[in-house]
Amino acid sequence: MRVLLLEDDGEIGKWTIKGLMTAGHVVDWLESGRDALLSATTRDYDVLILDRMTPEMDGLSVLKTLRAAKVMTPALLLTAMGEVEDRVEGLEAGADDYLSKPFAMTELLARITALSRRRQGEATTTLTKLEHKGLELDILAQKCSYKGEIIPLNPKEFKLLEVLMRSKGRVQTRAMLLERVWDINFDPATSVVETHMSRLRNKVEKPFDLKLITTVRGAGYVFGD
Amino acid sequence: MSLVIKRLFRMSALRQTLAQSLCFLVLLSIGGFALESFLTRELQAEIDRDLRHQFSELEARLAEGKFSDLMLKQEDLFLQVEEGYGLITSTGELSGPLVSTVFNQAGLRTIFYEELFNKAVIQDYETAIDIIENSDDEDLLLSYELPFDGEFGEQWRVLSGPVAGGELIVFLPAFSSFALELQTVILIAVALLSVPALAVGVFFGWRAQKRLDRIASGYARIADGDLSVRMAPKIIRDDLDLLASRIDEATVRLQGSLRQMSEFSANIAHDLRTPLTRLQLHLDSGAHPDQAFLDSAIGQANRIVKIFDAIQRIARLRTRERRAKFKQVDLGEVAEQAMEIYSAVAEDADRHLTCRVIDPAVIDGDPELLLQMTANLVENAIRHCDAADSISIRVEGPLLSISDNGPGIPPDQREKVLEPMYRLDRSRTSNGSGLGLAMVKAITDLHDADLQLSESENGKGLCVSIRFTK
Repeated sequence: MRVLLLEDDGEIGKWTIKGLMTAGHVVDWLESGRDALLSATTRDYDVLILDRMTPEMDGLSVLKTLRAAKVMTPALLLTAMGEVEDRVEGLEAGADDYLSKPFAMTELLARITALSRRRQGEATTTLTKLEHKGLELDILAQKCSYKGEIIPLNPKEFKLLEVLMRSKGRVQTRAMLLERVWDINFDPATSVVETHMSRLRNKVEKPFDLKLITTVRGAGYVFGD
Repeated sequence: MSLVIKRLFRMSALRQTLAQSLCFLVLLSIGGFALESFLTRELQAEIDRDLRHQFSELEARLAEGKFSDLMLKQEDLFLQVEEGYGLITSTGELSGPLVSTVFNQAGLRTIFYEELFNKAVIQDYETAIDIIENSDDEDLLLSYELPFDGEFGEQWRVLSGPVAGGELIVFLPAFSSFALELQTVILIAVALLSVPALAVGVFFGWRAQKRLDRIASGYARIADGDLSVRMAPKIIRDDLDLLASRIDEATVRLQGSLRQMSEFSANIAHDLRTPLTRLQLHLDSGAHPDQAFLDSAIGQANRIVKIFDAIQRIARLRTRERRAKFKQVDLGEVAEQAMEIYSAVAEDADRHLTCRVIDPAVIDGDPELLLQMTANLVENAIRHCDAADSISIRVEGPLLSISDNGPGIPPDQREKVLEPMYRLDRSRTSNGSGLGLAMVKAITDLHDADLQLSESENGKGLCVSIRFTK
């Protein structure tokens, strides 16, 4: 993927680039908001990563200008400490996702991958039936079955499985799951995700001796191979 | 000296009483002079009426042809007269104590006594006065009687006009002399009154000023940082006392929040020191890092970040900016959402979590924050309860409560646990940020809700109840 990174801190910039490149992305690193705006309007990117506090023009203004100019490249905003107001403000300005500093590289990678996917194929989100190795999920009927055998799931377990299956092969971090499944933007001190994940596994994996969900150490979960 | 006066004039209480006293005196003078001018006018009119009456009587008598009856000799008549008049015949024969120059002008007027009386009469009068003033002989004094009851004043009111066979003049003492006296009386009264009025005013003003000065100097000490200053007397008698007691209340609160803040920063320092120390030790010994080592280091760093995050959130909540984004929230939905998130977690931790919603109120609030508040309370309960304990979320009207039958919080510490970073000794070592309840408090404050900590129904455990206003 071609990624634009707007980040004025040298150290963070270097580490972020290293992480992104290791994951196989091509990165343009810009340190001022004005340069970023110029690049984003003249070149084609898959994802924009914008820091909010940058010299000459802040990331939020860059984003607003881009959206006003109908540049709809998916954008992820970075800021210090995830304040809800900042998040809402960012989303209102046209950001597709939001990540607060300090962040884990795995979290950033998982999120930009999800973003680029959203752009390329919205198709998966509109599917009403998901299937993987005999495990079937009927979104409209809210039914889960394995080779015809109904698996009873409660609504949250169903939603969790749906989110995982829709992003097959891509890492879903704990924070992403909390947002998408439970719609919460704070970090619970207890193991909400872990608990539900283990219950889900007990229902869809254990009885059929399947291995569908993999735990990625220090990152999150991935569905499928 | 001028400095002292300047300072005196800058004292508001004194200024006020001075202004009041002066105002009183000025009003009194105006009233006095108004009365005087009214009386003068009335009396003048009375005199004029008397003169006219007298004139017409005399005129009638003269018309009957008894002119000679009215002819008076000059010397002996003066001292006996009660009604003054004078005549001059058409042949120029003068009768009465008057000078001839006073005739030849008809109508009413006021003139000085030199213009009215002849020299002999004036001399006579002066002699009489002289005798009265300087004699000790009582018999002699009694035999003397001054004309016009002694009112031989400066000015006289005169009515003159033609009559059959000559011209007639009637006269009475003018009122001006009396008016002069009244003016003096008023002036003296004002002068006399002004002294006690000012004195009383200044006394009360000075007393109020002293109290104001005490409040001012107390406030200056507070500004200098001495928050132990208390100024109000035990009994509140007036608005100045009330002001002082309000300042005292503010000072008490300021002292409280200052103490809380310094405890807060001390606690932050303490709580951050632990993960930072661990992190440092890890990094120090990290010559051969393995995954477990790195995970642990990241874990410590995350803990530090979380503490800062929570502190920042609480600080932001206290600015009340988020009230702008309030909308209608069903409390029942909040409770059910929390139930949905935590029922499995509680079950796995062997806690019995229940949720009961009765007639839930719809309040003005921030749904995200309300969920976070409920989540914090449920997490707290899960963390502090023992296995097999039960936790219940309840909504009844505008009241949201989370109760458990765990170890509870001693009554004397219930206020304290709401302060940021305060922890009961037994939970010192547990993994919370120490900010969960402080966040709850900040969120309830933002919603102007009433937060109460008490025992649960059976007298055991903790019940946190939050009453919202609809």
